[in-house]
Amino acid sequence: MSIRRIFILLAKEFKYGSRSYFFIFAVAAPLGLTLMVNLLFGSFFSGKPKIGLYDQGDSRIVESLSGMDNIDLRKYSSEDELKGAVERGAHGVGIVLQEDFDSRIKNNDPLGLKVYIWGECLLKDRVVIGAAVLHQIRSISGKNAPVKIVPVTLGAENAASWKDRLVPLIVLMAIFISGFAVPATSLVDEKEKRTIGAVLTTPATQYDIFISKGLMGIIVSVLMGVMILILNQAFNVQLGLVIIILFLGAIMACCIGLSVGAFMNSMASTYSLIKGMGIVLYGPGMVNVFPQIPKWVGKLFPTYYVINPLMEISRKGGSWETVKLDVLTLSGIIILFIVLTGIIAGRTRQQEA
Amino acid sequence: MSCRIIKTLILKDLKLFFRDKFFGLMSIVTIAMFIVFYFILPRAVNEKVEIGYYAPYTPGLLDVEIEEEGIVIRNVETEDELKHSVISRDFHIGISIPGDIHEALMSGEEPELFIYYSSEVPDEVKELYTILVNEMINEFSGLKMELTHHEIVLGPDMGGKQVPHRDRLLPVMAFMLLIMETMGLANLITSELGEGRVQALLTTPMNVTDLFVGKGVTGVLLAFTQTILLMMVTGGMEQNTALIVVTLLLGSIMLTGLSFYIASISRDMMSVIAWSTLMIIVLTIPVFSIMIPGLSSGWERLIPSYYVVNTLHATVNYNVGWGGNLNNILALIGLNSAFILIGIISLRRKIA
Repeated sequence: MSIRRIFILLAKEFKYGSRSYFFIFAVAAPLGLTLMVNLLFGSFFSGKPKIGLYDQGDSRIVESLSGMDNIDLRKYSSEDELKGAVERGAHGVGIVLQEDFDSRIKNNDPLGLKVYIWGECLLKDRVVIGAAVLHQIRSISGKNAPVKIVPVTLGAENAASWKDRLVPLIVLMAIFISGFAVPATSLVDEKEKRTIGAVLTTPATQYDIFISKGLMGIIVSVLMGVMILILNQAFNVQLGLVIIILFLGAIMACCIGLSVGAFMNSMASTYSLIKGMGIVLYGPGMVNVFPQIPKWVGKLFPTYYVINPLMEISRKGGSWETVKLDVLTLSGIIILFIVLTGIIAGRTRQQEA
Repeated sequence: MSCRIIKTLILKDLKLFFRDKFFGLMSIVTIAMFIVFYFILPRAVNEKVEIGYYAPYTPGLLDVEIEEEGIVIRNVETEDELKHSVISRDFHIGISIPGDIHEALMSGEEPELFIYYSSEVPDEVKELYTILVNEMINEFSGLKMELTHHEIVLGPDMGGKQVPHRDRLLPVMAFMLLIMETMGLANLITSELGEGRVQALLTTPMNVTDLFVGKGVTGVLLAFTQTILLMMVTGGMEQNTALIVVTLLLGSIMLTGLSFYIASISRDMMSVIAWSTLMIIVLTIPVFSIMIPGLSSGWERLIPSYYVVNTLHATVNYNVGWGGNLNNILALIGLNSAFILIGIISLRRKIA
């Protein structure tokens, strides 16, 4: 094993491997997913009731409702536009405010509201939207019961938004697509093109090849992990600790990738295996998405010990003390993986010989 | 065209497809995963706000349990029971009315009323629920607003009978299975072309028509049987069975035509994956209009897959029959002809 040869092979990996489909996919997929999740869950799946409004006059209600952070309001310039938007489900409820709405409230005149309701709007959304509109009407009329409402939150943890639930899955994908798929496909590609045999006729050993491919996976994996954490605003003061965990996760991913690459002989089989292993690799991320699944299920997956400490630190402000058990478990798993990969590399060398 | 030759070709292709144990195994694993995923998701949509209240000092305020559209209000015996029910999410909100509320109101003070939320309720929802409770108190206090609603429900009113997320996802999963098989068939054809097996077959009594029919039937069989299995296990075929079968069959034919085209422009497995990924991204766009109906603005009708997913969604989730889906079916038949024609022409050119 020679450091110089490993770096020569690594440079070759970056030069030729970076043109492969999987390399591009490993970079593009997590970035695309981040963009999609931010677009979708930043607005469409925010859980806020969606109201469309057409004001025939100049009611203060519009401004008051716009100021509410907990509803998603959009104004329309005609009733037809509003009706069309509600009909296709862009808003749960569409409200038409008559021209003299505010003066009617002040004069205690009977008020009339035309309300379009999308058939699939949830009943609770209909109720809370109704309450929000009434609340704003009351603020103009001044008719309020003299009661002070004190909200009290019970329980320990705060609810995670859909976006927060999906971030672990994207981070896992960023680490494991690069760390797992890039070395695995690179190894199989070389086997298919028989270039691996040519390299082995030089002083380079099987270990040099494995380490160089593994290093490429680790570098891309850590870089992608950091980038995805930054893009999802999940990078905090524990910078060093986060990078160490990302690094350990990348080692685990590349060990799995190299072992898979050593056994597979065709790209088709490798691709199928990459698809199939998704459930194992991204299992903890999926468990996180659905709160109905018991949390202990996630602990059964080795990748849990990568993503859980990362999320503890980035989302809950955890420190070494809170994540040390997970990190130590992860280190143990990685040692096991490294030993296994070493044995597999040795056996492959014997087969090639 | 010889039926015997076509049958032999189909059997050979199926054998080749499953000879690669991973492709065979992954096809089974993918269906199993979709089925498990379906059954893990909740079977109903909870669309009511459930409110618990504890008011031992104000008998008569809310003596009855209320269950109206969108709101369920239930009385509990103790404050601890109220808190426990909120934490365990039996109630979205818990209202505790203090013992001195009468005295406070009589003396002109502003009494405090506690509302309990589970910490799992997002902040914005808590604020809205607080507004809701405030409005309820105003109503109970006799401070009703003179407001008349003129409500117009657009589309079928699903209030109280919403389509569960898992059923909404069922047509999406069926379509995703069809798409996955496109990639498998395109890869099979590409590898045969690359290894010269197709050219070798054409030196036998088999002609080009036999080849296309054989490959086409294999593709349809692979995609169609898997989706039918998924729909059967999940109970998606309990109504409009014939229409669902026809739609899935038409969807399989469409994607078989597409896989012919992908095979004709691909050199090897990696280019099959690259082109398929691109096609999948485009074909998946209409799926979002089912998952997030508000996103739909009509232009997704330009994408052929719209007619498959939309028909499945309407049939499975809204019990829309042949009449309501006739336009979609006719569009699918027309599009299928175009897909198959383009696929065959481009593949024939490549073989030539």
